[in-house]
Amino acid sequence: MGCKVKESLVSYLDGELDPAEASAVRVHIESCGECRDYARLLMLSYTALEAIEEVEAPAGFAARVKARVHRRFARVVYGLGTVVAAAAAVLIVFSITARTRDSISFTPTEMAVLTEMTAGQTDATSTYLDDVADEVDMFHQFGILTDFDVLADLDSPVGVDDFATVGSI
Amino acid sequence: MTDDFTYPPADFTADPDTRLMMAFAAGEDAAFELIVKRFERQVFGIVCRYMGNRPLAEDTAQEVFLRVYRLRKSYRPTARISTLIYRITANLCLNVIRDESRRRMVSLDAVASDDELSLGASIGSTAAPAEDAVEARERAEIVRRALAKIPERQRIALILHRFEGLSYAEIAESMETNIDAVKSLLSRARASLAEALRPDIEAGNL
Repeated sequence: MGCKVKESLVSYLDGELDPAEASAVRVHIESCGECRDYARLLMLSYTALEAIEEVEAPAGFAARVKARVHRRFARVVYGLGTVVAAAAAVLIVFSITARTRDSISFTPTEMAVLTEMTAGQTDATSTYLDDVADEVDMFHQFGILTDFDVLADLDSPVGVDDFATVGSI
Repeated sequence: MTDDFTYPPADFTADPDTRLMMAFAAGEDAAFELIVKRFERQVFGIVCRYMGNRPLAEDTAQEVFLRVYRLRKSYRPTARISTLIYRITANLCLNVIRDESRRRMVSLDAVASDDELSLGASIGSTAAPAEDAVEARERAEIVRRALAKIPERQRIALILHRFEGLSYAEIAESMETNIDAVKSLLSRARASLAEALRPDIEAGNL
């Protein structure tokens, strides 16, 4: 079991050694019974993997992926819409309150900025949601947060399971 | 990262699968379904052999494609899409098994489920007469148990090499490591497999 060549046998059998190394291993195997037996065991055990060669994806797999994609990303859009609507509502309330209490009116420039801010909420909120998703996924991967089913029961406007499994590769 | 750096960077845009992903990234939603159909057998096969549990394998394989879907916003053809899919698959396998092990420790559920026990019947099944089919199932079960004993990263490397035909360099890229590390992973994986199967090989069961 102490023969150093044994460490190279897998690479030799896989054809991953350069010609000189492969030749040296071949010559060694001819004279070393222990390495010869081990090379045979390696080959037979590798061949035995044929027993699990055939694996097909279950019927309807692609359709289920499509449905899951639709469910997950539709829920994100729904959540996004809720956040944008809430931001717009806050803006309107703020505007009305300001006008009635302090007689503040917006100049055309201010209105343009506010309009732009409202429109910009979509991108900003989208980025924010992606960031949150990545953070939650990071927690998930590092084992800080593992039981997302508990969170799902809280009925978050943006589906918690949207965050449970997304993330960078 | 692999040890193989090339300059100028390799052009993957001629690869038909990569072009599918580019079309999807450009807004052609129909391309996503083609990507799923093109890779479902590979992804499910890797996950199923790795986990030895069909329902968990399907869930994880679906998750691989959800992540591919999410890539559409940031995708750049800096690698073949197949490499990215293998990478996502390997990462998810390693993470899911980790989570699953944790859950099992909590539930003290150390007994294999029916799904796991019946996996030998579902992988490696061929259209063979009844007696041959039983023997094939038994052989598949022996192999599945041996595979399950191999440490996780070694197992992934072995599956990518043996069943997907990836070269050492491609495995290195998919597992975000270097070729020497892949050599070591495969060497140890094959040694573990050989030792796990030795009694059945010597007894003539395989």
